[in-house]
Amino acid sequence: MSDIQKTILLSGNEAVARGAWEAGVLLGTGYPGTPSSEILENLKDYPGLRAQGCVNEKVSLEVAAGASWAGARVLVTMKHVGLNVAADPLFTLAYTGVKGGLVLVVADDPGLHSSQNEQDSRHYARAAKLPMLEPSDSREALEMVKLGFSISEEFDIPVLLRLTTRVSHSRTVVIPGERKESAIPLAYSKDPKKQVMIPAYGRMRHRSLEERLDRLALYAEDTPLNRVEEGSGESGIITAGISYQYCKEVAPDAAYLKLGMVYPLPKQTIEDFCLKNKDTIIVEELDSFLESEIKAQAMTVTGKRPEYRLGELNPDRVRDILEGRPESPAVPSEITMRPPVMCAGCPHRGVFAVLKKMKLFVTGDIGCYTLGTLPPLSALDTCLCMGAGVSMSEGFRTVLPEDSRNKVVAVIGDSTFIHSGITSLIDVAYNGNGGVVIILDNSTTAMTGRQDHPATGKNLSGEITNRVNLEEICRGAGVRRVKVINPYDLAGMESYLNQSLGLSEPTVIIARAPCIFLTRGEERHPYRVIADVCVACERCLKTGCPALIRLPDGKVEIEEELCTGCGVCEQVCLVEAIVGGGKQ
Amino acid sequence: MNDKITSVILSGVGGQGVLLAARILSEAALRAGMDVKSSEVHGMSQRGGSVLAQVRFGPRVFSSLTPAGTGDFLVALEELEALRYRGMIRNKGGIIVLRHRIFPSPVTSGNAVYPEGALDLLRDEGYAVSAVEMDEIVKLGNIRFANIFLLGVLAARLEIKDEIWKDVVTAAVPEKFQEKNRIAFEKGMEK
Repeated sequence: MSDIQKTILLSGNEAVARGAWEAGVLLGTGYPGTPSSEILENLKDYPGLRAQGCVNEKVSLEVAAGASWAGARVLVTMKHVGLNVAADPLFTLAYTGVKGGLVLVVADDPGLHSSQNEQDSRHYARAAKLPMLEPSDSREALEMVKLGFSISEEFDIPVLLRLTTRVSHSRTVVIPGERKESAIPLAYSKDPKKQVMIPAYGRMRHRSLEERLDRLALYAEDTPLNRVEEGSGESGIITAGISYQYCKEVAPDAAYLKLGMVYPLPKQTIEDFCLKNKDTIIVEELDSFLESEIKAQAMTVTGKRPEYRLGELNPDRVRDILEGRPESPAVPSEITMRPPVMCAGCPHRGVFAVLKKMKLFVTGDIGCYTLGTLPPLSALDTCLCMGAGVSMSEGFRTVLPEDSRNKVVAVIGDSTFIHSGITSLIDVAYNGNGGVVIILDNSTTAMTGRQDHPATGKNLSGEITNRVNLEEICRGAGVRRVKVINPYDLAGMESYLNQSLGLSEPTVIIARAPCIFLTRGEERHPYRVIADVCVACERCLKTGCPALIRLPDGKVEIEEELCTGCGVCEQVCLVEAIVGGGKQ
Repeated sequence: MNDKITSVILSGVGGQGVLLAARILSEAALRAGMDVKSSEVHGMSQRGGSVLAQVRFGPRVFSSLTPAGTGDFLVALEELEALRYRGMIRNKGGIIVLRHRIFPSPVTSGNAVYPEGALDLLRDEGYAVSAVEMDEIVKLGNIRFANIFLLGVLAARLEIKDEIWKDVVTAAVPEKFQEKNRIAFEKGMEK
């Protein structure tokens, strides 16, 4: 019973935060991104450390590198696509190494629950020549973060810890421990051969990196992170991460080589395991990473069919993989979909209603407003990566003929603009030929749970700090036409867009109104529909507001509980059937 | 060995408190001395999307995801979300469903029809359906207590001691809601 009392339930993300605190971390950095966001939010509540949301993932890793070189243990967190942003410092940080332990947590999103791709970040471990650990539940996540810091310091190398959505957002039993402070003194040291990567020193550190990797490969043979579990059948399974749990669910009696360290791999252990089994099956989510590595060491193993590289695994798919079955064709559900929608009263809706009405081509970005692409708004035409909405608009405008060029407009959120839209805007002003960029400024990072960012003037802990002035940033980038517009004023937005679209100089429109979650609880003045006046034209329904209900006769009703009184539907109604909103 | 594991599927619409109910259930199972794993998907949940959580408990739990057609209970805070996830539970499994319809965007915009007779369908398919009327929730003063009420209905069907439930239900919410939550839970248990 005493053991049970010591256990608690934590999500994978909470367990990573706990483990980092126990490991004596002094600083946590990162940029929010599902499914990684809760790590820093939890870390900030532990005593004896600082956790901060940085401008983007590259900055997060660079701040962390500095703190590590000063001797501190540092945790860095991001989602998989964030690691692409941080890749530049990452590859060279592998050369230089660390002083205080540095663990970079990267959370992949197989199945694209809330992402633009489902890249497999394990390739980064091989490409950047870094050790990567992969927990299969919260208990392992906590232990692996702590061990990760020891590995980082022992081998003088950053350590990658890979999570996936199901590990990040599953709650499992963990055994919390106490915090142990690091013994490394905090001081900078002048050590150019290790810290200044000019070519001559870079060559030396590359050699050093290869040696460190060789030592890590030896470590991989002995570490308890990789373990063999005896089984009763003739088949053996090599697996890692969440796939291990799915395998154990459907094949509890098989022999296992469970890899907690997915790079570098323990080649001898793998060979010994494979030779013991009649057949060895590799089970892994997303790419056939382990399979290709293990086949490259001339082992005969069975991988998965190519269709299983797509999407998340689950116990049912794993059973099919183990039995060598092709994926059963998906049966389309007869149940009406319930897609996420922009909230009733969302300040983005009015902007998209105008852009749609003006039949513009909208280069978009990453955030709640990406939902503007879904029907009935259908008003956002591109989404590639953070910041791309602004730079892609420049590309379109540069090559398009004049008539279609002036139909291109970029939209980007405030947090995304800070993350990587500023450099894009500088390029628009520098290389571009005009164009309009709309910053959808709802004063928060709404999509990932409403984190503050530099333009809100508050830090991760909610303390007041320097506030970036978006207008001044835009002017400083070289844009003279910078205009703040109320996004609920549809006519004002349309009129200013019309004045700006054909100009040869760039325009930034800051559509500024807070996310409705920031003003929840304030007094609302809902609208209502006068049924006798409504002509069932459905113009208001095309705004996609969830507070509008289409009645069987095509007329519309407004759900009072949901309506915030934003007035977008009233403005698109041609017959003045929508009234209220505190006006009468 | 898996027959000793209880798997509960919880579904609803963003904002209804599905995740809170799942967390309370997980905590209760942990306090009852069991291994517990739960899985939830957020990210889009606040934007009116479909929300799904799964809680599995027993002597030893591996996967936090329930193999299709093996769940024991489905607790649904909305009728369409009961239909959507019914395939996750076993034949004759228990479905606790709130008689509540929240129209998804394809329905509000007139592009799809909200299904009629959801509960009859579930019963015809052989599930043990316990329907909770909205009136029972409204009587409690706020429809936000629906999640706790339905959790009470579930609790009456599980072998976890009342004292444990009382503790975890109370601990899960701020003090000003504790009394109301306790009442909602008890009303659910009595049902």
